Amino acid sequence: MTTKVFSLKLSDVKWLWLASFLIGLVLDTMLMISADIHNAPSLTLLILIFWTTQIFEHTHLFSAFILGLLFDAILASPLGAHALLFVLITFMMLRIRQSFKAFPVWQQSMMIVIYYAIFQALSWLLLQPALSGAGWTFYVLEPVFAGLLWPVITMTLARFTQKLLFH
Amino acid sequence: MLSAKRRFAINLTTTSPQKEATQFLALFILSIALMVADHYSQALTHFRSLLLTTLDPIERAAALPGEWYDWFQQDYQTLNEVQLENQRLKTEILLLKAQQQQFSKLKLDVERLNRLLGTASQMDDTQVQIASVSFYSQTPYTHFYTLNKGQLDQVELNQTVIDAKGVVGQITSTTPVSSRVRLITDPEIQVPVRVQRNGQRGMLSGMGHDRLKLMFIPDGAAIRVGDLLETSGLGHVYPEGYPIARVTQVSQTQGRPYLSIQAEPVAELNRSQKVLILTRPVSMRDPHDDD
Repeated sequence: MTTKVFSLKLSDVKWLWLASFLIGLVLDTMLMISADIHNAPSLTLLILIFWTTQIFEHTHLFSAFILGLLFDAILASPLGAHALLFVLITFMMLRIRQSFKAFPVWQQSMMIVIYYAIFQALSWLLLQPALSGAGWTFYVLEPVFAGLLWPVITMTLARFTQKLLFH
Repeated sequence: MLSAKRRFAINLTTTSPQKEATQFLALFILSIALMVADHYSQALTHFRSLLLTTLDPIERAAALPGEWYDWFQQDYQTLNEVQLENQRLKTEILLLKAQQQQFSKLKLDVERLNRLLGTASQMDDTQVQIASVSFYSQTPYTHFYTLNKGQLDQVELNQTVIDAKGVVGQITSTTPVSSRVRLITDPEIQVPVRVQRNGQRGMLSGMGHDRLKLMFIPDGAAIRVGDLLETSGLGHVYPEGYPIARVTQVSQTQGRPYLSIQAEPVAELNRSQKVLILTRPVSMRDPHDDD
């Protein structure tokens, strides 16, 4: 059974879709090799959530799996660990994406905080990060940073999408 | 413009919950299978290498701002500073050459003593190659360097990497043009060591954040703060006799058979720009390596 809802078509925005993931991976790698920032939320996952809630004709689970594998390679974590986490979070977003899209941005940010908190909790169980002192604080605060970043990501990508479709 | 609007407006289809659930289950199982395979076998080494090769342009793009910053800083270094550094390096080379002469003499002495005692020489002619650190990563999950030498330079898995002061880590993945070094502070890394002062053996394990712990040292062992730890060569992964860490804290917990010992790496993990990759001597290679 299929439901009818208003959404973007991947073929209309494929270059923007691909470029956004590449930029997300570059920025995540940049933050990872930075000397000062070790607890930044994954921008790639935020971008993946954005497209999941904008393009309804695909499940985005395969993209989540591939991006997770690339993340595992970048972070040198066990292959499949981030793939599992990305797939899980994307699937959870799939269950609510129609109502999520209808939410105002601040409410979406709240949902992102909850989803990232689940992501962090599962990361802790699966990967057992070595944390101490301030590391713990930043680790716990990562979902809040993700919630603060969400309006920026969503507005930027929505603006580029509009430009691509109507100019 | 109108056609774009029309095309944009007519897409109204969404995926079915059954399709989502099927794909999710398949990928969930595949992810777990990958994790198990990666944890318990070396089967995915080539796959990881392939992923890293694919990601090479992304990593290089990510490293560009740092490189530009360094280049910008170097460009503004005064001639006087360069001359001073040159002078310092010349002095250092002179001292090292003098030490090398002493080392050659000591090596001959050891070989002579070994012949007299009828024991095999412990001094292997390990070959080294110099590599530059492309970038350094220290996340809560893993600590590693990416080096600018890879399979094309005959860099292999499990080779030991050192800097001017001590052991840095071990090569854990390679691409044709780069390699990853898992640092000794990484929680996944364990190194068989001994206390240089009295030969007491133990296992050094990473704790993250430039901290290490020395395990399996029995309660009552003669170990104290400041002791230097060196690789013991057991396990045939790390060559013997390289300094690796210094003991910073020794404490005893009542009812426990082992001491709780913390150490810090002697290598400059946060600052090293050039490192040496040690080629394992034939005598240290595992006979199963060539299979």
